[in-house]
Amino acid sequence: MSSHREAPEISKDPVADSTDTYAFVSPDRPDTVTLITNYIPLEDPAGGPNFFEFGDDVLYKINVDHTGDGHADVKYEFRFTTHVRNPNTFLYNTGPIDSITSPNFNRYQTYTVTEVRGGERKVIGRNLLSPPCNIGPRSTPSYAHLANSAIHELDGGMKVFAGQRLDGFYVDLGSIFDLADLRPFQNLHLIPSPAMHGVDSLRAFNVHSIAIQVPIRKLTRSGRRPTNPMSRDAVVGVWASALRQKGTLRTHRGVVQSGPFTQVSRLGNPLFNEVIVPMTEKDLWNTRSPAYDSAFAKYVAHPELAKLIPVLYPGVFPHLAGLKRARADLLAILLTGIPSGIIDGFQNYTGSTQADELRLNVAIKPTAHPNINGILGGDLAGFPNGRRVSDDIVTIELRAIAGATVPLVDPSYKPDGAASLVTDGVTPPGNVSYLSRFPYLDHPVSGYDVKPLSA
Amino acid sequence: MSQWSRRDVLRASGVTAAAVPMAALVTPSANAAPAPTPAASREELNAFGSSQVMFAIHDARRGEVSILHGEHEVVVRDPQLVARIVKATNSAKKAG
Repeated sequence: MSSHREAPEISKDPVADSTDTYAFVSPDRPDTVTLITNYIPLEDPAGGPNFFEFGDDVLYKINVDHTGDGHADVKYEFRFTTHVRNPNTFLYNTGPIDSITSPNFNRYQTYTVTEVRGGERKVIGRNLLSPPCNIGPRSTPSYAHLANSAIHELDGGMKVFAGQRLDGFYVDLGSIFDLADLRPFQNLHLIPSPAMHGVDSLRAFNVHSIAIQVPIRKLTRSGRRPTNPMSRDAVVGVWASALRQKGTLRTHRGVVQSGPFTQVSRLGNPLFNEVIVPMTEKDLWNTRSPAYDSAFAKYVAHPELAKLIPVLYPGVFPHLAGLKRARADLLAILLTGIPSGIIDGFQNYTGSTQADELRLNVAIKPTAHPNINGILGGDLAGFPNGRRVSDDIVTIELRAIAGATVPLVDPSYKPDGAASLVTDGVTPPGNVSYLSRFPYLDHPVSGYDVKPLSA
Repeated sequence: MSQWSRRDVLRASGVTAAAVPMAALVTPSANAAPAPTPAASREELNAFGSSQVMFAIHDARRGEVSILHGEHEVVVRDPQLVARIVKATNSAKKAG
């Protein structure tokens, strides 16, 4: 998956496991950027009575690098506090929750938002309420109203939301993790079966999202809103991270934690740690800053998946099978950004420091008709120019790894015909829906309404 | 990481929530070395209150103790303290 359960250690710590990170110019407020990071993979909406919530003991961060050195220049930090109104019941809600301040909302969370700029810390939101999980029509009637009332306006034209959302990522996990099977092409697989449509494995699952909308001028190095896409000032790098305190002691009175916060999860480009980094280095990768990602560049230059694809689809990718040189296209897309002169009117180059960041050119205006294949589909406002909630990450990255982007840096290379066709066969609409305004990820499916995947 | 004084370390270890029974450190047993430093004063202990401290020795041969307190970590080089902790640990193992 994008980064759901992508590494051995973090897969055992769901509240700190980032699943997706998004960064895009807000389509309805183009003077702002929306930054989103999701946690808690594969939330079964019916998972009561202890429904899902953020970790009080986790420090969540959204990081922005506007100098290109792989270190954060601006950070938004989120800390949660859980409250229980009635400690003498097992119930999450003691009746219908008709507002986020309802006394029936028995176990709820508030949070604090801190902006860190250089060495200066400023609390920009305090005691902000998260909405409840979407339980069902009796417990959480009018869920959209409930959730929308948990969108908080902050000073300076900012908005923030933290709570449950429908997972906006879509992918056929069942086939991909079955020896990289792609249902639309499985007749060509080494172990063949008749081709069929893809199945969105995530369509019945929620996540917990932290979303913040920030004026562009607060994120750029100049402090202004750039209008020239070719300007270095127009590009910012974004990643999310989750941190826990170093020491944990379990006592009969509860868990005691102590020591400095240390990073246990991070996420910039989708699928980086998942399919690029080998298993024995994934946990290490999660603890590192992007500034030191040159240590992982060899895995980008010679990705394992690019070697597997021609083997698993014999005879379909002969050119990819013969491609032995380092993948300069992937190194640019994932680790430095795409320099000017490669794609007309576009660049998101941040310099020579190799760092896994979502690189967003904030001077590229959002389009009224997004192409889910992003730049591969001719839409400069989509991935890998940042990442929008609806971008078809699996198809884009499959095609890139299969060789479709090699000609960007090596015009003499002719991609295999299949490289521009390959997909897992899962696309919206029909599988997943989105909102046209902040926080853009749709309301979560309720436990009452959820249907098993086979239904 | 900042460096703590030896007095700070001993003061901290007097109320620590570490896994080793602290009584074994402050009450020398037949197997433990005698305490070489004065105990923390009552004022110091009161000032410390009920703060939680954890420590770890990653490699006893280095003579270093990593102390976690609040949101901070300090590494103190104190071979004598490490030796006392090692002895206390060994005696706890035998007792257990």
